[in-house]
Amino acid sequence: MKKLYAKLGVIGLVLTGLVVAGCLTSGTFVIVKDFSVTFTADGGFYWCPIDMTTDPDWEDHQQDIDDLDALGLEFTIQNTSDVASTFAIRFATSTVPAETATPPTEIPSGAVTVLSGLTVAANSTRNVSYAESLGMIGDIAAIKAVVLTGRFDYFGTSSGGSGDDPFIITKGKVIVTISASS
Amino acid sequence: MKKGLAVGCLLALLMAPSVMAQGGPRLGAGAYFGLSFPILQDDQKSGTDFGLKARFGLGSIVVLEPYLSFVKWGGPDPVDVVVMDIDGSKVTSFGLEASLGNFPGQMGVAPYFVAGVGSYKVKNEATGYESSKLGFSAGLGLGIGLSPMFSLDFRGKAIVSPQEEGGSKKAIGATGGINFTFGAR
Repeated sequence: MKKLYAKLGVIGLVLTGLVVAGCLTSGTFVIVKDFSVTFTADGGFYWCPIDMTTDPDWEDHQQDIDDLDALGLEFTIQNTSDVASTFAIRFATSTVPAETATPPTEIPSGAVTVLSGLTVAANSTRNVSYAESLGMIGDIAAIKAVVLTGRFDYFGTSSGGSGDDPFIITKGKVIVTISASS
Repeated sequence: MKKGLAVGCLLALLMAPSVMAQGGPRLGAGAYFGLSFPILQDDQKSGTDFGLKARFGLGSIVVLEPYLSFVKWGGPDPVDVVVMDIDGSKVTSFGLEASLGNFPGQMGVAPYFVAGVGSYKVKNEATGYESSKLGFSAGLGLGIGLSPMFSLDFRGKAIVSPQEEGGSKKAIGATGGINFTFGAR
């Protein structure tokens, strides 16, 4: 009986080792990209190229990314105009390397809405935390398709403001959580 | 597959009377509590692991354990100064584990190996993430029979829970619990 136990114990250790080894080849990673923008509150838009592919975690796993587990945002937005203004964020895929990309003249028609209807009162500042943004984000399936390309353009739009008073976004972050197999 | 697993667990429970009728204290139940440590998951921190199980001794060393487990991981640490401030994921699983050793009613110290298959549902209320799929576990344990009726049970096991879109969530569970053996005197 003791020999049987010993054999079973060895088999058990080997199996456990295999499970643990499997653990070391995949995981869930959180990638943060920073941005800061200023644009007008009366209907302008801001463009910012986002390139996840330069992140070390993304580089290590780009061939084996399985899923976008979560997408979150964090930013502080200041409306300097005298009337309330509404802010929205859209993402669009891009194949142009971020470092050579130039600002587009319009938002691509295929852009997906990430966040919309965020109203900022006149002459006020609003902080949007990661946790708060999770409840604001729209069609995650469509967003997934864009974000998982690794290279996309971020468009911030505004409406309802007045004049050329700027909409100022600081401490902006796109926070992406991905699962990868190896 | 998940239905098959549920049927298997149900059959194990239905087998109980006949197993007991064969004589000897071979049927038991247990509860455990401990910690669950996510492996390579930036978005989770260690959390709690609570579960209930039935125990059926087959032959002289194999013990089948249908179980129900509730894991609640902790919210993530800040990543690149982003304070996420959300709760961790919950993992609800049920399945069947088989241990070699630590027979119901066994007295003294009994090291054992355990492996199992189960349905693992990973859900995060804050991010909306949800996946349910068959997963696996394997580990080692130590049973300490205090009396024919009661034993302590300490267990460490690795859990691999494949996800619907590919990849897997993994964790190490370290739990301690108490087992009760029915019919023992």
